[in-house]
Amino acid sequence: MPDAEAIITRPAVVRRRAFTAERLRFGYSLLAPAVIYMAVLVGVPFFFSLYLALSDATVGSTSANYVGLANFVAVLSDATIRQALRNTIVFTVVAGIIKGILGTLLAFLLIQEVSGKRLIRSLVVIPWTLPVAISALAWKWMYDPQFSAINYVGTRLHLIQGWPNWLGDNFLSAVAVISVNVWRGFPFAAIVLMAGMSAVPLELLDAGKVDGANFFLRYRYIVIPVIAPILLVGLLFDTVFTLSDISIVYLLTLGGPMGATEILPTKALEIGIQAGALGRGAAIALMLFPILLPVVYFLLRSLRRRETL
Amino acid sequence: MAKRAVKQSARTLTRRGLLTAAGAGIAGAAATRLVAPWKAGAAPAQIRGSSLRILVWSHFIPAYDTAFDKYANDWGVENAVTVRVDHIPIDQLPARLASELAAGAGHDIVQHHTRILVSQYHQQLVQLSDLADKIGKANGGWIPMADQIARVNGTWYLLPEFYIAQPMLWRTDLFKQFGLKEPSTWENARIAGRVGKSKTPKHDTGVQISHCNDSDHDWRAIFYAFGVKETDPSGKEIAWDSKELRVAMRFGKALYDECMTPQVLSWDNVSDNRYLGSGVAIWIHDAISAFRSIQNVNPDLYKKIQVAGPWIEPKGSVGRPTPVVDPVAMGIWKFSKNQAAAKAFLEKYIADVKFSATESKGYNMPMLNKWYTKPMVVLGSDPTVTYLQDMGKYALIGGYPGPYTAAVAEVFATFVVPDMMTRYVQSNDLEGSIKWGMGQIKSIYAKYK
Amino acid sequence: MTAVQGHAIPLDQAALVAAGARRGRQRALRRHLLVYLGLLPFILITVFPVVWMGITAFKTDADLVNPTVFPFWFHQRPTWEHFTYLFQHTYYGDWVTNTMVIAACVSLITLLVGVPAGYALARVGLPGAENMGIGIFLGYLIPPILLFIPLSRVVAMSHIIDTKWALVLIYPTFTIPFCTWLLSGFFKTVPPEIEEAAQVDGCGRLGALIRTVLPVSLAGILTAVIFAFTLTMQDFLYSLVYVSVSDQKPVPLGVATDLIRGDVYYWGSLMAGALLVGVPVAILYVFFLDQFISGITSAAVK
Repeated sequence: MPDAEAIITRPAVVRRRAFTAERLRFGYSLLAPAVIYMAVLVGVPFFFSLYLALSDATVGSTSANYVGLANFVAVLSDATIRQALRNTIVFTVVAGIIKGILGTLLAFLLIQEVSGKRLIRSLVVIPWTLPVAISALAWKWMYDPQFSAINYVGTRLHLIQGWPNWLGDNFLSAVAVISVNVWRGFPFAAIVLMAGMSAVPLELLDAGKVDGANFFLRYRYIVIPVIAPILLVGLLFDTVFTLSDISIVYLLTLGGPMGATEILPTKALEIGIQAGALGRGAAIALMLFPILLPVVYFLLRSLRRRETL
Repeated sequence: MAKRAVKQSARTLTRRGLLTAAGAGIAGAAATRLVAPWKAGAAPAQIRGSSLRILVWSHFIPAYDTAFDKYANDWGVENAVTVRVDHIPIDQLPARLASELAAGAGHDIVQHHTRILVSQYHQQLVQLSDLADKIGKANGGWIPMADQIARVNGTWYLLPEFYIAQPMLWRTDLFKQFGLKEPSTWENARIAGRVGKSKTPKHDTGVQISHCNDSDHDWRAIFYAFGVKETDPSGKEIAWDSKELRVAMRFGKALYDECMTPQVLSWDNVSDNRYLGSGVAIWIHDAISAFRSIQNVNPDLYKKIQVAGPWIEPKGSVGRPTPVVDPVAMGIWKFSKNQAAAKAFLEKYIADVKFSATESKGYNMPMLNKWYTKPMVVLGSDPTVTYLQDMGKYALIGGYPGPYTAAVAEVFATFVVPDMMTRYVQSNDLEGSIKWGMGQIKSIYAKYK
Repeated sequence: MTAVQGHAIPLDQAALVAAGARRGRQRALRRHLLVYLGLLPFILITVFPVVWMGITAFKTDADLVNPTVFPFWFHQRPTWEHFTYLFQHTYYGDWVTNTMVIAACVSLITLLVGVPAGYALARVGLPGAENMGIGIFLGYLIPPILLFIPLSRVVAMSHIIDTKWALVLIYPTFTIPFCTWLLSGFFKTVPPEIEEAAQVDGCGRLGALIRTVLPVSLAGILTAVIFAFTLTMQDFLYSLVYVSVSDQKPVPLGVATDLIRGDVYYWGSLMAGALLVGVPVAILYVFFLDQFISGITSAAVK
């Protein structure tokens, strides 16, 4: 086993050279366009939003006053916003776990050599390629209280009892929202994992066979170390999408019933835009950051590891 | 072929208007209109050669969009102004308005819809008092509600365009068949729903108890009918927490338990229309677009539906009908570079109630008193909708009896009223639900003190 | 005995080989069946909504809202009306063109900006480069809901509000971080010898970059383009607030805004419009999936 790991984690060649001024200039000028693009179109607006969150700005106001942390205090003392925060975390974590599990299973099946592989692959990636806004609408139609196709099939196959009101029940509506997110996200997880599995060198698997290592051992010692980082990065990118995506909730439930599916982005839209309190809206959106922090942490760690290995 | 030709020749005009016109087979007519721009004469010379951009919603009566585009376009041709109209869904107007303001660019004329935040937007809007006075004077004055959505400290910043009534739409055939009294009171409506629900096949009803605009409106209409007040007349002191609210909510729960499908907990704005359209609902309480779309799809069903009655709106315990409506108004951004043309267009269009009522098939309710003279355009000649003619005197918007303030708008936007009802129908805990709702409302009002 | 034995062994072997082959075939068959059986639920889950969308796209409106019949079959003749509506009464043709133009331009910008940045991150080993790289990635984490108000000002200043070019400007803010990361992974897979050889040949640093880029360009560029395309299709908020003009909209926005007209959902046309873009992209994925996978692999592992 140590041999195997040594092969996998062979250090990238780190080349040390004298940094001539010319080389520095060259390097930074290569980086500059990306840094400038992001600074101007993300950095500056982001700091402007920070300023909004600390002010009493409204949509129509021509001037805004500095109010310190008043918006954050107001936001945190609002039980519905705390619920939105909780929902955001629960949805992201639950959806992430399910996507990870389903994605892994699917990836295992997809790398098997069977005939019709291409057709099957094309079928399973469709959810990911459809625009999410339109998928959400299609699902809304499938969850329709009167014409629900899911209920029609489910009740006839005796998988579902009664005629559940998917978007009207506190628990089911959360399930409904998570399902749409999982449905469109797990094919991506599977693709990323297939990438990971195809990175497992064949000789390692064979060596495992010779050692008599059974499937699970092989999985534990050979496959996981290779694919886990890839899965992590894939899930992190997907998590960012999940956290900031507004269209699924916005189009399915508008946060209902009773705020059971309200998430921070929809709440920010309701209060910042529809009620016009820009400052508080920005403060709500900024509350995504405490949740994003672990994501940032893991992402950076995995990036750093890539740099140093 | 025809479509392509028209599309290309019309690039400078509203492509969409002409495109749809072409679809209707009157491309030729549209083209010949280009010939006589001098005919109108009335337009002020300085606007000639300018361009005007208008942002409105996608009308719930789709044919109105086509008509409006053509109207704006024709006005443009007559006055040598290049007019372009854009339509976006109603729910997405606020985000777009906020973004245009932040950008300081976009359209000249924008439509403000439903939750009209004139108290917040007025600093960015052109004053329109001169136009409002002129149009008001020529049309017997504005209806009472107009004031609240368009004026700040006595100055007009918006011109009220129309409002959307949400009356009772009820099945005369079923009421007759089951031997029921007209839904002139909410009690009658409740009995009708109860009887309807007991029949096979079921003919129950539904009022959304969910995060949607209709739910916000319908429950206010019911609450007001039982004497609930949101604030004092000044709008400063909250008056929600009252004996009346408890009566109204108990009634609401009875309505839900006895006559509604539990589906209402997940309904959106359209679901009740579909419930009526599929022939199930014995009544729904919604805008007449529901019934206009049935007119095309299912003419037999359409004939069996009556809109409101001489009683205008079901009554509760207070003496007057309390319909809660969606107001719509138009304004001109201060950043607009073509305010003269924008004003000239609004002067013509806002006063043209006849066009608005006719082309919307009576959906657009007038904001001007003169147009309530009977028989009204469209409404006066159609017995099914004739009772809407008396709506203007009673129409209310949120915040009643106080003004429609930013705090009221936030109570709307965060769906406090639907959530309070949901809590109650699910938990059966009246005081707990009210306590929760009052907590929400108080904390919202506190932010605007 | 030995002779018999000697004679018998080949026979046995032949039989064994035949039996082995049979068993092999049986095992292969069983494995196939197992794999298909395992895949079946996944295919059902992913395809069911799509099939439902497809059926909806071909159903007449009256058939669609008829609650009394089996919803997965046609009770009136399938119709093309939803498709003809798309092309005759909406700007669907323009939306498709816009989506293509936006995706192409966004991919181009992403590559122009991401290739040098990815190379710098992977190869040049600058002091402080890591932090800049992190800065670029952090940009991906900031949700659009926080940015769209301030960005309106930027979009307006560049006089491209209400045109597709506004989206061409904004979308790279989420494709650049992603693709820079992918591309820097690609560049790490290229043996440094190639680069060194280039420098020895006197090609200079730019020449070295090009020599490094070339070997990975097909897979890398394809991966970046496919990602850029997929990501631009997922946006809703930016296009909603920056583009209100019908003939400038991309497909997702056009379909979601122009085909819901108040109380009327044009379900058939909505679904038709979604499938007409979603399915070709899915097919594209099939052709490039292997490239794509090797792309992600090298980006993530190396």
